[in-house]
Amino acid sequence: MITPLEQEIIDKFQKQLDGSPVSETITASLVASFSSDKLPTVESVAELFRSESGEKEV
Amino acid sequence: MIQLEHLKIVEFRGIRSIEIPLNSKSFVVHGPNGSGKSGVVDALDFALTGSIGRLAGAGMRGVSLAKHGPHVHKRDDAGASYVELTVKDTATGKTAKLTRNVTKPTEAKLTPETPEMRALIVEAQRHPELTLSRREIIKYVVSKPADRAQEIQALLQLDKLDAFRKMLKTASGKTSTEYKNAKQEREAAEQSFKSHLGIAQLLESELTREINERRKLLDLNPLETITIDTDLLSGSKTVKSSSTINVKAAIIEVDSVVESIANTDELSRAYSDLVEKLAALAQEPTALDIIRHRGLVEKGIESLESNICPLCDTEWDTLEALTAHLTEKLARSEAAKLLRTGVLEAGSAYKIQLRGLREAIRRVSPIATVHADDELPPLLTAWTDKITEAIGKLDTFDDIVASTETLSDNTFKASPAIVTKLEALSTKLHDMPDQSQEQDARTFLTVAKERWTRVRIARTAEAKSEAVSQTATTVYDTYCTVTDDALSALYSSVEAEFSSYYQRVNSDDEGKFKAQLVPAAGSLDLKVDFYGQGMFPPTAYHSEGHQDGMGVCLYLALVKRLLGTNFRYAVLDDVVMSIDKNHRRQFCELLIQEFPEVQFIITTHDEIWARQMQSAGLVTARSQARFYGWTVDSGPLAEQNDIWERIEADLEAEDVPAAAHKLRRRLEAAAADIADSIGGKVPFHADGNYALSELLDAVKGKHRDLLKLAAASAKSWGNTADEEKVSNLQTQRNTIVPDQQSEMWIINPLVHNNDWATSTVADFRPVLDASRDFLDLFTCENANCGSWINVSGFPPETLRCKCGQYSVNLVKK
Repeated sequence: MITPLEQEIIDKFQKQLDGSPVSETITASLVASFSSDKLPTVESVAELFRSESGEKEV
Repeated sequence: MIQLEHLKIVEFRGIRSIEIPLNSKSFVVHGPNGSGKSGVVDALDFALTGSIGRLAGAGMRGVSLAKHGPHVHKRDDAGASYVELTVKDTATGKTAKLTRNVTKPTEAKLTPETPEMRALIVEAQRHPELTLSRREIIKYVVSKPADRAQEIQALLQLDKLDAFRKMLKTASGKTSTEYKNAKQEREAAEQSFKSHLGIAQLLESELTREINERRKLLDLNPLETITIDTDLLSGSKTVKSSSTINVKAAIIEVDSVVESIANTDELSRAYSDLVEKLAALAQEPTALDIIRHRGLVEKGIESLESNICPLCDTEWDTLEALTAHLTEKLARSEAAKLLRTGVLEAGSAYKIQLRGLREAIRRVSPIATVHADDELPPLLTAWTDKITEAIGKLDTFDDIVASTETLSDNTFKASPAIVTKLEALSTKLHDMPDQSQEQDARTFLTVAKERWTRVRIARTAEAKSEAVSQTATTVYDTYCTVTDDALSALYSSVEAEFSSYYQRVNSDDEGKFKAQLVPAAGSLDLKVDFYGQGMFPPTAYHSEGHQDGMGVCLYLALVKRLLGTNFRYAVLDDVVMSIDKNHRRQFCELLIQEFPEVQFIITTHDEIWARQMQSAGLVTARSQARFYGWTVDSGPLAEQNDIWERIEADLEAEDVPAAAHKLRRRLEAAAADIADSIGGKVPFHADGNYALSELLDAVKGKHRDLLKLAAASAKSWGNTADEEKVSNLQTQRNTIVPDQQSEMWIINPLVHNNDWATSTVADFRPVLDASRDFLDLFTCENANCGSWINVSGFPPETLRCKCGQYSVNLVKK
């Protein structure tokens, strides 16, 4: 379960990213992974950035 | 969240069997040291978390729950050792029984088993910090700054925040490296293209001139514009050619590599320079540590205020000696910083040289594939791989330092076989007949097209990786900003609450106390005000008792921030003992007023302190268990429930001596508390032991005087209702006190001489009734109030109980 402080931080994190050029998919995925019991791996997050930034692969 | 309803402990730690009705209310377990109180705390800890915090940590090697959790008589029968804790869901009021057995500590049996209650148990398990001892609480105050940061971050469960930050940082670093590599590949591709065309810059006019010159020789239309997508050979028919190699260009490329191999002066210089810089660094064994700690030392110097080191709390002889030590350390770090810069610069120069060589070899590889023997291409591939590996170890300072042992000039020196074969290739190319102008132009454009394609691919990859890196940086920076802001606000709020709590507990002498929590570079500095004389480490001037008080206040402020309204219980093992005697009432009031929804389970070896908790209203008469002894065979010798119920139980069993003993103890304790609360004066005894008669006389005398004062006050205000109320109190007193006095003669000799053996319940009953009536003079009629009446204000203003039902004015008009 997420602590009140963590919730506060993740809410602000989401809000600020929503106002940035970062894609909604990345924001949603990071917020979800933060709230889960196990943190994602570095490679999975890097891959998320690769797949959702710049020109998409076809 | 949950609160604790009922505890049953069987064959666990020092306890054989005991049940304690906690009733979701604050509860105190009191008794002398060694009476088994901590066994109750261990049992709660075990039931809630599946482990015992006290059995972990320093000095507990070889001690385990499995071996030492069961009572010593059951050490070979651990299955007999278990704890049952009935808990209440504070939201719904539903209860469930949680049972844990030492043999399977991780299995918490829940009856009834519901998802909601299971979730609450799992949540409770995540908060071992809610059960703690004085030893654990004081660490928040006396730890070194770095340790304090870790302790507080662990308590606030900030480790996940930090782990997430590190994960984002690594991901950001990874994508940044990918971007850097993509940029280098684009630069290399462009350089390769420019080199082939013999131009210095990728200006469209230059490209168009060189390309169209060859196109003209092939009767192809000139290109008006050239973009990254332009086919430089557009319009050309596919021609079967024996070679796609442009011989003139190939000769230039191969001879360039042959020349590079023959003359490695620049590479050797760059390599030697790096080796030299690393050797210089190795001469200073502490340089690496100094480099890493430089920022910390700078902050330490900024924070110097006394001879206590702000970094590690070590006490120096003088402030000057400490300043000199840190300044010398910083000077050494200046030298270390120069060494670091030298290594980084030399590494970078060497890397540039290696990249140039690798690029030249790569350009030769396709020529070798066509015109050299079969052995040369794989040799060149192996060589470029070796150079690439070496380049990869020159990215960061730590990488370079780590590669010290594996650095070798063999990296850039070609093997004799490569040298021989490249020279042979060069000779072969030189011996080839000149290509026709048309063939020359075609091969030139073919190579140009290949390299222009490489530029296009590299630019696309660079743009993509730049976007990825920017995303990662934005995400990481945003997370850091948000987290830093939240943590600054958190520490600021903890600081304010901690100061406020401590002020309230110590309102008489430190009402202006303030504290500062300063996070910096993995540490958390704590400074506190000392009587307006400045901000100092808490260990600098405050007494141990005050430090303990700070520990409790800081802990409460931290847990409040962590859990907010979910803070519903805390188990404190002898923690509140830390509060010095003069401030205990204020501490109780702090807990009652600031944490009215929190159930505190408190143990203390100080019986007076336990009574103070009751008289202050923190616990009730029923919310107590008194452990008055312990044996290995029976465990704690405990008394529970209301004292009057226990006396009645003795009388029912016709055990008059036991009832008399309890009554005397009750009168001694109550008289002392009442004397304290209304200001009854007794002759001073240095040993702190007062006879019951002295205490009773002090209480009666002061009570009489206060009622007289109240009567005079009511009269002066012309308040007939108050006059009547006080008059009734006086009448009541005048009736009860003589009765109690008349029984006094019987209490002392009978109890002291143990003559009750020949006395009956009928003999004792009037003593009991008179004593109860007497004590009732000092309480209100509200059964839930539980406090003694006390005098407030100086000079005295009111005589009142805690709930206010008993309240008389003492101030005259």
